Amino acid sequence: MSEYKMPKLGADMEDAILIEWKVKEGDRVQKGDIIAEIETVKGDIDVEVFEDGIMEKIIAQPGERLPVGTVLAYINSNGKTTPEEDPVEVPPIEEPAPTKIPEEVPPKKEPILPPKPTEIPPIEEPPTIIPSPGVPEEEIPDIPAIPEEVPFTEEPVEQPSPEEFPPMEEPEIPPLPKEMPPRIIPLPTEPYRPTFRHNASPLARKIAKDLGIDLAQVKGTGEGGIIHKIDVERFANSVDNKEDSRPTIKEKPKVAKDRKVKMRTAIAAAMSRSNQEIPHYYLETAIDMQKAMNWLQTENEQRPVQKRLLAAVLLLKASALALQKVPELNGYWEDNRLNIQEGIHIGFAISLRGGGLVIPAIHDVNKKSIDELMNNLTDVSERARMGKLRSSELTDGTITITNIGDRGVAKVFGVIYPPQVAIIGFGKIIEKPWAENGMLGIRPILTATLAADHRATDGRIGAKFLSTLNKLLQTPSEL
Amino acid sequence: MKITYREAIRESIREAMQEDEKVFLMGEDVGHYGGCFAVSKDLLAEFGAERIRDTPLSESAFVGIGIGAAMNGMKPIVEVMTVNFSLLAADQIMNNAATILHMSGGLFNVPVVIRMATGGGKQLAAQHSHSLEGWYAHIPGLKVLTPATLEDARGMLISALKDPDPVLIFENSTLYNHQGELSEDAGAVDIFKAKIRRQGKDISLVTYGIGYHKCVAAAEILAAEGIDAEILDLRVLRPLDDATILETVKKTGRVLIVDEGWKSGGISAEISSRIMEKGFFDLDMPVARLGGAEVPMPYAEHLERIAVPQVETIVAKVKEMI
Repeated sequence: MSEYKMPKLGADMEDAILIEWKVKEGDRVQKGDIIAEIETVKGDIDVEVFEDGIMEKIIAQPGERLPVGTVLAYINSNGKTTPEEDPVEVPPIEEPAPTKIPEEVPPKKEPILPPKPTEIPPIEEPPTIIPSPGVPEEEIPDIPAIPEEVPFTEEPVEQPSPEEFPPMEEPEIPPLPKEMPPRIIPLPTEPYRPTFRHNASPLARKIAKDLGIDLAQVKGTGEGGIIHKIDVERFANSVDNKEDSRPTIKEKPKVAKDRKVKMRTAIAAAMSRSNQEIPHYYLETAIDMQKAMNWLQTENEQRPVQKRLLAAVLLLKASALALQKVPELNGYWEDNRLNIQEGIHIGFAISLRGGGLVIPAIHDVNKKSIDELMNNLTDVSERARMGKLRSSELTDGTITITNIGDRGVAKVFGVIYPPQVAIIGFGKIIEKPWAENGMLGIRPILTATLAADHRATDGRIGAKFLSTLNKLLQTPSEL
Repeated sequence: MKITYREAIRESIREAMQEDEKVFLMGEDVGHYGGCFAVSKDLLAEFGAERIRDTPLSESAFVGIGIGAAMNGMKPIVEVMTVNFSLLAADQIMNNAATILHMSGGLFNVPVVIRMATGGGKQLAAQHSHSLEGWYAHIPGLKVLTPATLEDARGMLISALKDPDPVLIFENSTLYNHQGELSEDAGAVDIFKAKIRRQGKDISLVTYGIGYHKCVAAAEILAAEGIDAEILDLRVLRPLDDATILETVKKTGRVLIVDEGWKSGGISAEISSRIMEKGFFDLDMPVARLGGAEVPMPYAEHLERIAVPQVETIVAKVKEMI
């Protein structure tokens, strides 16, 4: 069993309010599932789980403000239902905790079995229970991921009754004499259990909706914890009575007003720390974007409007490929040493309307096609502005790009977002006189900069990165 | 006036025959024998063999004759001994009585009234004891009435005779001896509405016929334990009175349907389904049903007893639900 703690979504986060659990105790979760929503200064974030397992116990209650590292829940990571195991000792999360997040396992690392639908484990085996606790863990075969489409995996699947129809008999029927074949199929005594996320009656749901009550907060007193009308009413009364004692979740205009201030404070803290702790060095280079722009124009002429590409996506992809060649810039400064990261997850700074910025990471940029990246970029920008990012997007960034060119400035020297060790800056692509091979011409020029952590790398590495980037942008069709 | 259910029906027939000479009664043993359940006792002497007609043992023939008489301006009351036997006349009921108005383009009404005994409880075994009224409630063109009270036993027949279309009346055979007070001037009652006969706030018992009386007894036991059950007497199985059903659902949020019929494809399934379709968000828990055991009705007394819902099973089920 492992602890699920309040994640640290960036160096500037100290606490968050738990808004709602998206799962309940007993639910099976898979790595990457969104299990809760929290409210941070960067907006409401869907937090993911980092391992497969079963929600063993939920500790934190919605509405609480919880410091980073607070245990929110226990997850039974090997799916056994015995809670006897001691919780694994997890060292308290220190500042640079985000790096501890397990790397994304791309689907291709799944067992080599072809994922034919027929390979899905038979429903009779409830996915929540691995039989025979005596089997050593090593021998437990990997359970192939259960596709989300398979219905009813949230609940232990009932043993199918011997007949297709639910039994009709009332339990009072006396047993038939033994010698007769059992023509009456005995009824399973399983009570009816709804399979909805909240076990609540329709009436309870309606009342909860009318009163603006989040059913996740209501404790059901019905059979198997089903929430009935009376439970919602009791809850409503108890909330009325202590209205002021605790912020109720549904009303958060005050929090929203505070958020701008808090985000400013958070940015201030992170950037101050960066400038105090990190000895930055700065490099810049001018890149001839003629070929890239030509390629982009030709490409976009063939594309429908929705599919058109922005120059930013070329810069994103080129940066990732350059980092592949110069990995020293893709990592974290932790425990006085550089930890180079394998996955290239580029944080893309997005400024928010009304102030502040967030840096959601786009995962594995080097492995994605231009089109995928364009979709990612659009998607993440929209969600960032709606305050709907996923936790991994805030924690997984291994380097940052600040592309402030669209605001009209020629160049930008960034401030590194700790514990990262570099930030790439792109200015506006501007037409300039350009001399090449003894000839003068007018070219669209991009000023690319790099601010890097001198503890981790030296100028030579930074220079290698920028020149590789330049080279890559000269063959845009290969990006 | 103290009166039995049987007498209430007899008085109703008598009054109708006195008032309208087009009304006549026919069926197996209704004349000289006085009716298998003694409903028509003494009527032969009063009205004569022309109007109290013993018929051959052919349900198909005499129900068909009743339909024909009705189409020709008479007001026949056809008594079929039990609902099980009515299956022999099912062709006449379904293919003629229920359809002729439609097939004649509205030219011919069939104002026939068909009465039959239904239900178990008298050790009459698997060919005389079933509750098949739900089957007839399936058929468009029919009205299906299930009088539970003395007032309805008397009044429904009067209203049925006034109805221009075929009406089936199902009299639970264990109710014939049921005795109670009925006001002297009890007359016609509506044959469209269900009735909430006991007000309650905790759970709705939806039932009809004999089930109503079992629910009343159960509600009294439950009241002593602080559970306040509402009782809806459906009265009419076709057309079902959705509005009144939904009214009680809305009030209590919990529904137990009590019916001696089999649950599979039965009237309780239909009611449950309508509640789900139109009253889902008033439900505080799944609709529950108590029905007849899905076996042919046993002959042995103790087995017959447990083959249909009883007061104690209703009480137990309600407690389980609350």
